[in-house]
Amino acid sequence: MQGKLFGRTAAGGESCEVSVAGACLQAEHEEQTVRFPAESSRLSIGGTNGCMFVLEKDGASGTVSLYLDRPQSRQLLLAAGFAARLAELESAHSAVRARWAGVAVLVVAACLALAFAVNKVADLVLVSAVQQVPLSWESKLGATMMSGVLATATEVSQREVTAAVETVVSRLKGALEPPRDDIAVHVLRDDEVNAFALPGGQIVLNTALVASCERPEELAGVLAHEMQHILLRHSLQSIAEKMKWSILLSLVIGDFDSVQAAILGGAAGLARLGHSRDMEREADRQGLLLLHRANIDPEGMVDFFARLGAANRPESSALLSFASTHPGDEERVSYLQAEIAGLGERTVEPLAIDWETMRRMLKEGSS
Amino acid sequence: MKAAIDGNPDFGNLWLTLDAGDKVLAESGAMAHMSADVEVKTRLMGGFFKALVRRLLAGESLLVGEYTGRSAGSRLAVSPALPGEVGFRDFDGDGYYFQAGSFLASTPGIALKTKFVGLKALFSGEGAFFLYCTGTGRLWYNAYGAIVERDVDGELFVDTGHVVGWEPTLTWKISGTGNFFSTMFSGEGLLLHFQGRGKVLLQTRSVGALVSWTKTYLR
Ligand SMILES: [Zn+2]
Repeated sequence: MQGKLFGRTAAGGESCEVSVAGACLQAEHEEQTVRFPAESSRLSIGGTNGCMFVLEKDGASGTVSLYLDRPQSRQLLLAAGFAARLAELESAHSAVRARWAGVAVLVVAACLALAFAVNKVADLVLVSAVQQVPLSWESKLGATMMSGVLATATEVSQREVTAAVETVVSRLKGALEPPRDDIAVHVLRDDEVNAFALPGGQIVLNTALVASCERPEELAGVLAHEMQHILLRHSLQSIAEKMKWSILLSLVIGDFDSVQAAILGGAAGLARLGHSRDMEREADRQGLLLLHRANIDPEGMVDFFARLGAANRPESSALLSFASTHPGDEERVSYLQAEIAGLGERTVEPLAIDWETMRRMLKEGSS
Repeated sequence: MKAAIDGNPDFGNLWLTLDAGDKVLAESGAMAHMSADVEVKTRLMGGFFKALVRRLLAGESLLVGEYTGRSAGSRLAVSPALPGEVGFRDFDGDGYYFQAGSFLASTPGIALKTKFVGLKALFSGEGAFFLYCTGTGRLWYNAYGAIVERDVDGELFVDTGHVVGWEPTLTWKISGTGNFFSTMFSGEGLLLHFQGRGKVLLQTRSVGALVSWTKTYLR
């Protein structure tokens, strides 16, 4: 193999052919031969990033060195009798490497811990920042988004339907403390079973969801849940949460254009934005309390989510879009039931709506 | 392929005449002019992930241009951004390290690998990556100022801004002349400390020094 020989002449390194000769490594260059006996030569690891073996011996005209690429020359060195020295060098070298690997692990762990801490602090800042956003600003954002939704949808105007929904809404609103008169419910003609709350008080119900409720108490359960998303300002928190990562990432990369894009993009697509599991639970729990205060049977909410859970299987896709953001699993049903058991006694007042007629009207309207 | 360098040592410039099918890699953005029968493709240097890390950490260019001659006599001129000498090195299965900014062009037989050299080098302002070149063929590099070759036998200290490249037989580490804080925050006084035996390529001017000198007029 090839090597590089230094110190034989005043000039720099010379390429040479390296081979084994007994207990020696010999380097040949232009018909001259330099031998490095295993007995008397010094072997060390050198070169950039330790990529080479260095073989040295003292001659009459100073030190002569032979540089060899490390992995390739190992066999030659073993054959030439350098095995003992080689083992010594390599174990020392791997000990150094292990130490550096330890340092690297520590550095990575420190970075992760720092990222975790930054994330926690960012969450705290976000939660308090969201509370500082004025309601009027949130309403404006919601109104803008609502006009976007209405631009591509048809609002249901059948009196039987709007009156039925209004009955449920006004019963719930009557139980709100403090009262909120900025909550508005829109029923949109859509075959997807879905409902969502926009920032600032707009709630959208799809006709398919209303029609899938078997009694008005189920619709009341969905509405109570969505109202709590609004009261608890979950949309703003979700936007902030979603933007947090892109903003942090863009700050790290130092690309401020994408920070701007993240802020704009955070608001877009909010209608389909799912909330975190914690937010869903909070909306469920507070929603049940609202139903309780409004004297509405809270079992309606459980029934609706239980049916959603049963439908949340691949073969039935009609209920899937609401189910995708509102997992109706057994866990949810059981904690809802536990919550209900904890509610105090209350006389339930039925919602006076001719529900079957309304459902029929909805179906006629869609055909 | 035929290659000629003109303009040296002040404003070196590389002229390449390609035969049909000849390929050459050149620093992205260094192409000055070319004939219509040269095909251009842009490639990532050293793989996507490494290129991305390099971009994030060091702000270095990700891309190299790949130029292919489509007919005999396709012409291409490659001009470095900085005033200075253009040199070349022929590879015969051996390797060589270059400061990433010194790469100008190379023939396809040479593999260009980026090597991360540690966080400390980030503060030197010279980038945290060096280019390790191996294989057979020719590589052209450029310098700010003139190119000087020095033989190291023992030790040599070089201001990081003056290094163009070195032989892999040399060990190096970065050391400061001042204390830790002045080194970290000014980036000045960082030295590459070479040990062993081999050749080092140096440039007679440093961009860092030019920037410092210019700053005194901007206050
Ligand atoms: Zn929800």
